Amino acid sequence: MNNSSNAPHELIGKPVIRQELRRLLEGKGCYVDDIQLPRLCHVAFVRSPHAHAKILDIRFDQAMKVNGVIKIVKGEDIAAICKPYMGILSHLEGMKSVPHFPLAMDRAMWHGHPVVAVVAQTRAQAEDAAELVEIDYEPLTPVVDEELALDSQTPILHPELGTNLCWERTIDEGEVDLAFKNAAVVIEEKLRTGRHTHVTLEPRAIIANYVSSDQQLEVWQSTQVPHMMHWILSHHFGIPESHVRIKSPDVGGSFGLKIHVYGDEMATVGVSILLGRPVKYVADRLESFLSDYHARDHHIHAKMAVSKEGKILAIEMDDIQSMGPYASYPRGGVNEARQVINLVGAAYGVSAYRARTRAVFQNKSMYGQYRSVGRPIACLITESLIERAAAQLGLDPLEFRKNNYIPAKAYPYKLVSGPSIEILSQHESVDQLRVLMNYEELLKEKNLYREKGVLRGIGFASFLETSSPSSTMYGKGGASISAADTATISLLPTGSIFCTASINEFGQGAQTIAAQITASVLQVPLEGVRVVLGDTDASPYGGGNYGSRGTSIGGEAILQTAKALKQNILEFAAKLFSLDPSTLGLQDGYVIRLDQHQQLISFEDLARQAYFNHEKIPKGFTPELTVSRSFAQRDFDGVFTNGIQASYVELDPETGYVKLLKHWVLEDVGVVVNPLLLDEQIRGGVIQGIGAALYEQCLYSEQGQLMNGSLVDYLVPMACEMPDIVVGHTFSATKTSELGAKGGGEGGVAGSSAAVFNAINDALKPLNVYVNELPITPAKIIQAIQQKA
Amino acid sequence: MKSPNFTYCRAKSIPEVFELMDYYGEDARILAGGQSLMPTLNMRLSSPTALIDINHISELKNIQEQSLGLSIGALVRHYQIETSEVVAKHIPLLHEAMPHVAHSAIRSRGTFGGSLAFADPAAEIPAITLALEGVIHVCSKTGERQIAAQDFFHGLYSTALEHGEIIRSVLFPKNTYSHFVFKELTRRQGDYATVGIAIAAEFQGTQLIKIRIIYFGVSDRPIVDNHLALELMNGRFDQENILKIAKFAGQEMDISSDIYHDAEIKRHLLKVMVKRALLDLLGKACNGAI
Amino acid sequence: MAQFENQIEVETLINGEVVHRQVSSRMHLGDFLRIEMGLSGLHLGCEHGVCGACTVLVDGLLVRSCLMLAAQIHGCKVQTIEGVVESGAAKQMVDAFQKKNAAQCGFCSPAMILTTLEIAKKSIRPTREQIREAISGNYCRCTGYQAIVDAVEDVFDQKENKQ
Repeated sequence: MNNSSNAPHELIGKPVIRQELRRLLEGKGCYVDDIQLPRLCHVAFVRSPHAHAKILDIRFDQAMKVNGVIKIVKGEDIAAICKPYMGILSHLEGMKSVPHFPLAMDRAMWHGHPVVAVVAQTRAQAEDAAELVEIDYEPLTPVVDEELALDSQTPILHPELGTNLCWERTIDEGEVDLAFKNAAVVIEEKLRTGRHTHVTLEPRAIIANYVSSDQQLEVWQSTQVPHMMHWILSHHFGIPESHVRIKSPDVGGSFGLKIHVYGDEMATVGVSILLGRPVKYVADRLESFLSDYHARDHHIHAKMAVSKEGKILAIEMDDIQSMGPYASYPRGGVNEARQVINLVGAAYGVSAYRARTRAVFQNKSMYGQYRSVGRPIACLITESLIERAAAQLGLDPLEFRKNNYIPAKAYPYKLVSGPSIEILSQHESVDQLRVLMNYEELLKEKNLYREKGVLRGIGFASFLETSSPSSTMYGKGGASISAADTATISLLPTGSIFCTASINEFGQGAQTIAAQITASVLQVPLEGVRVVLGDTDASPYGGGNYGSRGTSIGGEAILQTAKALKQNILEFAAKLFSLDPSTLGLQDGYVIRLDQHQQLISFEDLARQAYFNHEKIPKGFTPELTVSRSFAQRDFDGVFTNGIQASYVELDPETGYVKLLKHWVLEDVGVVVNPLLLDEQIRGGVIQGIGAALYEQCLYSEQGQLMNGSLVDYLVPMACEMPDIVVGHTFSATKTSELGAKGGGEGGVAGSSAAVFNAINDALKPLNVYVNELPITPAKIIQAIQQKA
Repeated sequence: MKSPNFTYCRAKSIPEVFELMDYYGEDARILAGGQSLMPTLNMRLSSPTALIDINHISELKNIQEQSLGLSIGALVRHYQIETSEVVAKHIPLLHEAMPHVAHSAIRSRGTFGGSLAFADPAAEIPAITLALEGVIHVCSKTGERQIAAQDFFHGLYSTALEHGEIIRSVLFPKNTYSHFVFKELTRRQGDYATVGIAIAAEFQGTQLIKIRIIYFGVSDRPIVDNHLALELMNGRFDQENILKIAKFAGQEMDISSDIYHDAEIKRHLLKVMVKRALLDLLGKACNGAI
Repeated sequence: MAQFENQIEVETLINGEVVHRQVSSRMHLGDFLRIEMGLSGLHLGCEHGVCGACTVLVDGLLVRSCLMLAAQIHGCKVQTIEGVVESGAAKQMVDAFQKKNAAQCGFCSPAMILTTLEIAKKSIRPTREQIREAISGNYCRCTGYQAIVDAVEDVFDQKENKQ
């Protein structure tokens, strides 16, 4: 990063401990459910037990008699005050959906679809009453098989659309057929990735308080995107934006869960408007499984053509992505499909590429973004084909990759699928990984164990991530989702700094990052910076957190704002002392004369002048000690990052159990603002990918019932089974910002499931067995082995 | 996920328990450790009229060495069993199993009697009790009776306990078993067993005198494999025979599936784990120590 | 038969304070502590005893507060994160967690801290595997669990350095 006046206090790049962490560790965090308000009431939902059913009649006279019940609200009551929504992105050609409302009215469309809202003094009473609400359903045939969704026999969920296809895209570039004809090796496979849900430890939670006296709506919401919700609530409930406030208190994890618009949360806001009092809704764990957005549900058929020298000649790919019954709002719900088709083969710049992706409506939970959207699947497809190709040709898997990567000199590189890649460090990451994991020794060790009959495997996965999205992702398609961020920074009378920005905190350390950048530029100690995020009354409007943009885009806005404030400070001091601003600098909370390293005036004295002693300031000059700057990344659709992961496993062929021995991640995220925060985030992402590889799946019955919707039956990774994860970094500079940071929040997830998948299949090689479905459960391994025998 | 309404009462003595059970009828439930009951209440899977809290009845809380064996009171908590020297000495199989029971925070509250009464087919304590032929001492307002473990477990969450009865204690009779093996296959530490095996065996030197083999997690209750035990008794207890005979584990039995394993996979896993358990046992017996 | 809730009198010691209350029969301990006592450091992640986020200490033992009724703490001593964290072993663990960045969103953290205190009491330094086993009942979605293991090891390092 360019920085002319340099810095004994350069905090960018330092492993600074999060100051705000202590409060959370000591139990003094404040999450939405911790908030109590006078006259607060609670809502529970009656949800459809059917995946697909007509709603014939709703009666709640018995329910109204339950002690503590205040009101019972149906879909029509909310629809009367809430505009319907539809998650179409107009720049995704042919994308179709239908409008829908917060609560189901004539039809229930998934197991868990909220139908009736029951409001009571306590949550327990609301649940008592909910049990007594009577709803007559006429079950309809559910659409629950993605592969048959477009079959002529399958009912069409939205007759007005004439199809269950939400969106489709095809690509046909280069001489694909010729490449397959000339290939020395063709690898073909079918892959299945299991449907997931985020399982944030803090469930979704919202408090809405509508005060009718002045028509003000105040909302506390566990969310990544308070400003987006500000627009959403204002627009859909017809309340002027100037009358709405959204505050995001501490958020207990999100990973993309809490960026969508949920019917139950919207209904809660509607209830508050109808009642004119504060209403709280917290999704309990069972509801969370039924109603949180799902992700990662794909059926894939892919082929790769490779020359005998180990050059990738072509890739062919067909993908079906499951969805819910509607395009999710406001982000569409087809972003996974978008990323999958964009990024299969992308690390290698494969230019003979034929692919199709189709996202299809289903009577299952709504579907949307989950950390590293689509990238783990694109990575799995590409890297599983590569690993098999390398093995078949007897080539070193790392060298195979290096020989195929986009050449280091070819950047910026435009993929045939459309996006452009600014710059990567793929070759370096492979070289570093080889050293970090001591691959040669590990390979020897693996083979020694194999000779003794112990099945160990090593798997690799090279991955690309996208970050710092531009407005071409959503805004261009008409969605009111910002790709820009703004920061406002002030110098206060005692010399401390106040910083607010449009990004949000949900555990990734945004507050500390903001403070580090601000303190570095303004040359003050970290403790002297107060950061406020996540309050639409305090923070300027912007994108919030999604797509790994907090540090890269928010951080840049903060950097530019801090620089502008610095400039104003220098100019003010220069004016007071009749000096040239270019002869001044900042150090330790002082304006200094650069040539003599002499302290000129403290921040405190300067600020006091500005606030309390205008009579001493030359006329015609007004010091501006509060400054705002904005930033949007506009050079690319997104800034790509790269990395490579490796997994080392031991497999018990009799039980199908996999022991994760160790894991490595090399990732390039450009300038790293705080390596301490980044590395454990990467590890957290790796664990999520391991969950995908071995444990997690939302299991639906043929009738569309979610069968494992509790923490007993849906298996999330716990500490005992997880490996230690070694993290390293390479670096390639981005010119899209001065800060030079790329997004690092999602890379851990992007490559880990593919690495574990490849390691398991490597371990199975002596048995000539291959598994191709995630999650790779012991049952699947046993079945694969038995089928071979 | 808030519990439905119920009336809560605290029993201070066993007779009071019976009075309360009478008064509130069949829809009253006993609250001991609560580690299995509370989730069902929170999830609204059950709605008892009343909860009778028996946690204050001190006569149910003892571990006692008796002439016939070791008696464990119904309210002895899992963590107490885990740390009891007396249990480690007299019921090493139970001692070995305890760290597998859920997690520390569950073991703080869960009770021995509660685990038996709940009768989860994948739980460790019912299996160990069946393996060591524990005798369950049950009482009601009409008197006491003793139920052999063999007769206690009727099916999924179902036992021989009748309405109005509570477990007082379990007697683990003195036995001549010299070697034990406990094995459990779980997806994650602390989960209920996918397949669980408890074996008690008596060796004289390397000669197998008696063996009792219990499976849990594979059926609607813990089950004894008498057939396999007989086969093992018929020949020499050595590696060759073990490998041959283990293939017949669960042969005549109804093996049930679960959400992640169909019955065939379970049967396969059972055979694998039995083989390993028996080989472990062989190793222990050959190393001589009792 | 209709179900009637009743009010139960409890006298208990919570974080060193004598508390004398009437509690609703069906209210679980977690809700009682959070709502009636304002001790919102414990969190509800599942209410079926699996995630561990609601863990508190009852009579010195780790307990899932969602699996105990408020009525059951009559005569017991209850400690939540708020009551232990100002000094001693808990403060040391918080220091270590902060130093090793062993938390992100913080929702699992108070329970995680209380849980790690149990293994931190051991006189023999545990292995990393043993530490992982000790926290195997506490779900964390943000970290890789690794920093948490590092934090517990750091506490043992500090103990060794002092000797």
